[in-house]
This record gives sequence, C-alpha cells and structure tokens, in this order.
Amino acid sequence: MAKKLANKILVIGWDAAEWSIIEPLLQQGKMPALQRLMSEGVYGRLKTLDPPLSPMLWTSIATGLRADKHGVCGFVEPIPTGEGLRPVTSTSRKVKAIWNMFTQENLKSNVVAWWPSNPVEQINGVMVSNLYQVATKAAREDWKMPDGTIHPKEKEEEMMEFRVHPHEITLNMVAPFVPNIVEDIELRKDKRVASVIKIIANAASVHAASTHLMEKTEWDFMAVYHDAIDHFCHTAMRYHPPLRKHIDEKEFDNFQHVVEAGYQFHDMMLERTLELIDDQTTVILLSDHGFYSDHRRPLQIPKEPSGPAAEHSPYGVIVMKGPGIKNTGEEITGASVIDITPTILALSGLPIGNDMEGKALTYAFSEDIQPEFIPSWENREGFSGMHDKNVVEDPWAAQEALQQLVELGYIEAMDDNKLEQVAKAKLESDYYVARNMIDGGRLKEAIPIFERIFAESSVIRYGQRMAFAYLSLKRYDKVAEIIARLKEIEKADLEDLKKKAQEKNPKDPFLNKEFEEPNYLDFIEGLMLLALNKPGKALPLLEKVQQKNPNSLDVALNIAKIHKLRKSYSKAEKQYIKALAIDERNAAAHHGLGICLLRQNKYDIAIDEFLSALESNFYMPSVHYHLGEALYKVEDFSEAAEAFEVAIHLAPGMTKAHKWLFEIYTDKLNDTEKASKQKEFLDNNIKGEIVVVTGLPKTGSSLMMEMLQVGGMPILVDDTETTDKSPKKTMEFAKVNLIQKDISWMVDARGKAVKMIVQLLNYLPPNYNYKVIQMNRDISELMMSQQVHLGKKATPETLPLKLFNNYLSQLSKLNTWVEAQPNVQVLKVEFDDLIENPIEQAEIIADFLGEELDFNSMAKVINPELVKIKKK
Amino acid sequence: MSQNKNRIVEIGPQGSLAVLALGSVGLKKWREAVREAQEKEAKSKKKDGEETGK
Repeated sequence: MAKKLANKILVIGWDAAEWSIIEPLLQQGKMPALQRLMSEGVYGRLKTLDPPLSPMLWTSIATGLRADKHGVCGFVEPIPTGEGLRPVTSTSRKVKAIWNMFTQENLKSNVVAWWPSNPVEQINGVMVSNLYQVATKAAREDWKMPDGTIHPKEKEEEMMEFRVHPHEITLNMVAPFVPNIVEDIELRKDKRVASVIKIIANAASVHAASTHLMEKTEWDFMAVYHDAIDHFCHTAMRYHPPLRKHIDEKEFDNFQHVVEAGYQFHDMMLERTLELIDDQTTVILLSDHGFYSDHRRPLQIPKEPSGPAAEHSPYGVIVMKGPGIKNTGEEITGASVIDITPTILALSGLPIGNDMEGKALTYAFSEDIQPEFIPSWENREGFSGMHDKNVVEDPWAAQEALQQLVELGYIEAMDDNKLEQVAKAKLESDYYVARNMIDGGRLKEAIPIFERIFAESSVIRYGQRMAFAYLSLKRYDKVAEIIARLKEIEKADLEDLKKKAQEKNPKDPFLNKEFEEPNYLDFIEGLMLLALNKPGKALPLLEKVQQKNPNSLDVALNIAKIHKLRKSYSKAEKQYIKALAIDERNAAAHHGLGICLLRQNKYDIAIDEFLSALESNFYMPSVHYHLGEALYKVEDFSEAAEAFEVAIHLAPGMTKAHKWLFEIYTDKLNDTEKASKQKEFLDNNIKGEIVVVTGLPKTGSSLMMEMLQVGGMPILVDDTETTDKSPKKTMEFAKVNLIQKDISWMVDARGKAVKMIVQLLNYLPPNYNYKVIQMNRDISELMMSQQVHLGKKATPETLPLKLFNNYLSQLSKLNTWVEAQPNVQVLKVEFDDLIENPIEQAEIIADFLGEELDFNSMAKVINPELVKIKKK
Repeated sequence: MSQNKNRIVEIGPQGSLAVLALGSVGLKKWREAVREAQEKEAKSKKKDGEETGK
C-alpha cells in the first residue's frame, strides 16, 4: 500500500464558484473562512471539462472518468415506464464513485446532496440524496421524505428535521440578498425573490444535514455538494455590478447584491464546517466550473437545451488544506476536475485506476510520494454499496427496449410529444458525450457520433462541433463539406422564417432580408484557411468575425497568430492585449504577447508576460523555453539555464533548449560537468534537427530548397558544377538515396535542409528531430507537368490512372507515417500558394522552422514567368 | 481548525443568515426561538382576550 497522507478527507463542492467574484470579496475581508483555508493550504484554478454541465462534471469529479465511461450524460434521462423524461439519477452511473471505493476498503463515507445521488446507495456510512432539500409540497407539514432519499433508511426521521422549507425563510434572511425587500412590499412578490428564498432554504437544508452528520457520525470521507452559488448566479448574475447598458437600473438596484450575498453566505457556512473538523482532516473545496461575472457575461442565453451553460466559465476553483497538503498558501496550476478522484485516492494511500484520465495533484502534497496504480477499480472485488446490477441500467437503452414493447403491442404508446421529447433528449445526450470526448482529445471516437446525430437532426450546433473536430483532424475536405451543408440549412431556415412572416404580414420588411453568412461559418472557414497556410485569406474573414463578436478570445488569438507569423509584432501585440482584456489569465495570450515583446527586444516586459503565462499554466514547455531566451538576453544566465532545464524536463525532445543549455553552461556559467551532460545528451539521444524537403515529383521541392538557401538556411546538396544546359545547381544530395544502408551523412545534415523523395521518409532514424516541408500540388496538374517534361502528350484525359492512384497511395502512407512519429513535424506547402503568395509562404516557412529567414530574397526565387503560366 | 470558536450569534425568532450558517445547531435553536415566540404571542393574545373579555 502506498503511503497514506490523510486520515480523513472532507470534500466541499460549491457549484460554479469563480475566482473573479471571490478575489474582490477576499480583498474586502468578506470571505474570511475561505481566506484562512487558502493561506494555510494551497489554491488554484480548476479546469472544467466540456460541456460544462454539472451532473456530468460532478460525476467525473467523483469517479475520475468522463461521461461516456461513467454514464451520466446530461440533465435528464427517460423514465423507465415510458412516461417521458426525469432528472438524471444515480442509477445511470455505471462505475464506482469514490465513496464506493472507500466502502470497499472498509472506510466510512458520508455523502450529502451530491448530484446525482438519488436514489441513495447502500454505502458504508450515510448518504443523503440530491432530492433531500427539494420541497415538494407548499406546506412543511405535508412535505414527506421520498423513498431513496436517505441511507440507511432508519436515519430518515432523524434527518427530516434538518430540512428547511422555503416558507420558513424570513425577511431577515433574504434582506442581505435583496435589501429593498424591507421597504418595497411589491418586490416581495417578484419571482426572482421567490427563487432566492428557495435557494437559501435548499442551501440551509444541505448545510444542516451535513453539519449534523459531521457531529454525530464517524467518518473517514465526507462529500457535501452545494448548488446554491450556481443558482444565485443564474438568477441574478446579470444584475451583478458593474451595471451594463442593457440592464434596467431599477432591476439592478434591486438584485445587484444577490451574487455577493450568496458567496458571503457560503463563507459563513464554511466557517461553521471548519469548526466541526479536527486537525487530522484534509479539506478539498472545489467547483465544477466558473461563472462569467464581467464583460464576458452573455447578453442573451441561447434558446437551446442547456443554454444557461453559456454563462459558465472554463475554470472553477480548488482550495486544499490539511494533512498531506503543503501549508504554504501558494497557488497551484494545471489542476482539472478529472484529477480530483486520483488526488483523493493518492492522499488516502489507495491505488489510482489506470483507466482514470486525470492525475493526482502530487505537486500540492506536503510529501513527495509515488501513488500506486491498479488497472481499474471496476475489476476490484468486494462490496462497494453500488446499486444492484439490475437497477443500474442505461436508461436510453431501456427506453429503446420499451419502445420495442410498444411496437409489439405489449404496452401502450407514449404520446407523440413525449416520444419526440425523449428522442431529442437522446440526441442531446449523445452530443454532450461527443463533446466530452473531444475535450479529452478523443476526436476519432467523437466523429461517428457527430456524423450520426447531425444526419438525424440537422441541428446546426452538432454540425458546428463536427466541423471543428474535423478541423483538428486536418480533414479539410470534410470541413468544407460541412460548411456547405450548414449554409444550406441556414438558408432553408431563413426561407422558413420568411414564409411564416409572410403569413402574418405580407409587407413585413423581414421578407427582403438576404442571406448573410453567419459569423460562426466565417470563423470555421477562417480557421480552415489558416490551417491550410493561407493566412492572407483567413485574416479578412477573422477580422469580420471580430467586428461582430469583439469578445471572442479564439478570434483574437488567431488574428494575433497571423500577425505574429508575418512578424507584424505591434499588430500581434494589440490582438494579444485584446485577448487578455477578454481573459486576463489566458496563458496562450501571455505567451504570444511575450514572444512579440521578445522579438522587439523588450526583454523585461517579455519576461513578465512569460511568468504570467506560467502562473496560469506551468506545464507549457515552449513558455519556459522563451522565458529562458529572454533571461539570457538580460544576462541572467543561471535563471535562463533553470528555465531551459524546466523546458526539457517537460519536453525532453526539445533540441534547441539542450543547445542553449550547452552554450550557457560552457560559455557563461563555466559548469563543465553540466555542459558535458548536455553535450552527451545531444550526441547520444537527440542527434540534432534536420529539415527535410519532400514531395511527389514536380511539386516544387527543388524550388523550395532554393528558397531556403537564399533565405539564409544552410542546405545539404552535392557540390556539382553548373553547365550551360543546367545553369542552376542541382538541389540533390545523392547519399540521401542510400539511407536504407548508410546514415553516416546525417551528422552533416544537422541544422540543414536536405531534399528527399516521399518513399524514403520512413527510413529516417528516430534519434533525430525532423521538420518536414511537404510540397503539395494538384496531382493531375503535376502529372501533366511530368508528361510534358517527358515529351509526352498531356491532356487530363490521357493521364495514366495507375500512376495517379499510386501517388494518392504514397501521400496517404506518408500521412499515416507522420502521425506515428513523435519526432517529426510537418508543414504542408501548396505549390499554387507558393507561386501566388511567395512572401506569405516564406513567412509561414520561417515560422515553422523557427529561423530568421530573408523573406524578400526567398520570394524573388519565384520566377515571374511561372506565375504568368500558372495564371494562364 | 476554526480560529473563531467563541463567536456569538444572536438567535431570535426573526432568524438570520448567521443562524442558518450555524447548521443543525443553529436551525434547532432558531426553531425553538420561533416556537417560544409563538407561544408567548399566543399567551399574550389569550391574556389580552381575557382582559378585554373577548
């Protein structure tokens, strides 16, 4: 058994808690309990999963697995009897939660109001379900405790008295949320006030139940979940200061305190909770996602299922304190909700399942421990308290089975509305699972789901996500196909709306509305063009999107990327600053801004930006690398060496960082021991980086070699004499063709460019890093060019089909090979783009190679005659 | 763990967030205070009724 660092663990869930709201409250001393917890432990941002939907997330938090594995795939599930839909239940969960694992280890758990936890499980301890606090009757006396709410059942009566009915909530309790209620009697009838009352009652019930169990039961693990912050925010975040233009001032005056009071109430409850634990308890307080509280608040909630999730921000909070946790009050980075179960297991000295995607947050631990692993908790024998296998079911599969019984006439059919409702919910549930897979990098598994649900429904959101997935997979043909389909759907929708408008009013000016490309399509198209190395075409599209949607972080980052690529650093800088105005802690924006400043020799502020990026996400090797470069420039050599060391620790194949380290240890720090280690590493492991120019015949690879040469890149070619017939030097290096037998020449190729045919690439030895520039050209066109070169007749009709297919197969093999090589990076350059936009392509190539190349000289290599011929 | 174990929370029938934040203990005490206040009110109504002869 691994070392146990914590004897008792208390997990407190605050749904939707967000640092940008908490930070000002901490500064004003309004959340003293949380402040203490932070200063005596560690704290940080907690990355959510996509989609940020709470039942899925809290189940991932409690299991360490994603939705497709744990089975809770949204807010609703079908009712087994076929009466429509119901809120998702614990019977949908297919895997063990942390309390089941503890039960198996004979440890006692109390679980209060976890979402979803109804019906309760037979765990070793007490479980209070998420329906415990929900008042089902108008009067408290009539409010019974439904079956499945409390485990063990004999505790039902005892727990009854801790439920607070909304009718019990007094004016005094509501006043901190809505102060005007004291004077304004009419305001008391407002439905938002009714919501606030209900939320206070629910939170008070959960808190009373949990504090009771903390005092009166023995436990090793306890988990308490509060949904109140999320609910206060959905009710009143739009009124949270500062007042925005479109918000009514009177409404603002009435409801501006709801969110802040909600947080303060939670701090008060936390204060009491902390009073009830001893020094042997480790506390983990966390939220599943954040909540936009500033200019990023959406102006409108999308009218779609789970639309309110648009208000959720991608980072929640985590605070940990107690035995096993550092007591330094420091901020930790890189934590995700998927890491919580592994962290709890590691703290408890229990093994982590290899099937869990997350990691134990050991860098927050007070001791350096090595967690143990097992293949999966699912195969571990023993009583876990999970629902009986007969009760655990896939509700959607059950629904289908039910439908079959209906079709066979055994049971009565659901009415059409309910059937439609269930069918839509099923599509939506599949959509969430596919998004969750994409978030976990499992694009290929997600695509078939998107393909199916988009084909079945033509729901635009499904198509959009699928287009992004294909974009990540570099399947641009599919992206273009989806864009075309989405345009068709948008046009048809517009026509439908026009028809409806005409029926109402034949003179409605809306009837004259012409189809306009929606913003999201421009965005997808822009990203695709950028990925296809056509930044010149991508930029105007992205700028158009930015005009309509100035608060899009992704748009600003991509525009910045284009400017950075073109070395227009001040323009890129502006976009990165814009991105930081949208999300001040965005690591990519700080990194990009830092690079722009570094390239403009503004080293000190560049260093600040790199450090800010690392504060948000420490695990970015390229940021450490650039930090090292900036520190070197300000002659802080030992710090620079440290930054490069971290970079290679995170990305051991980073040859450049090894080179820097070798130079620093040799020339600046005179540390011969470390210098020789670096040299040894460079010589033995990473022998260096070689630029390989490849492509099918007649795709312009010689042209590319020539461009690289005049741009300032060393090239490896045979030293042949030029003749009148061949006035140009050949760009070949004959030994390349013997690579299967002899690789001794590769030492000389380090740091240089060399030309190689596609078929030989898979003989490249793995102990070098390669940057491959793959030249592409329309295959028919290149074959015609070859035919002409061979003096043959060349029309599209006369091209040999066999050769055509052979070329296609070679390219396909190349792609497969590249995907499997961690030491190979590829840049695909289209011959046509090179001819038409040589400067732009030169910029892209230089950026890919990370070299300062002379763009103008490179562009001059392109023969103007070639451009003319091409245009003809 | 708390550094504020001796804090004083006033518990009256009108209740407060501070009382709810005390959890199970606060809830019990507050409901007691409400009950007592109701009994007191009922007694005083009864007394007023007796005095006025209603």
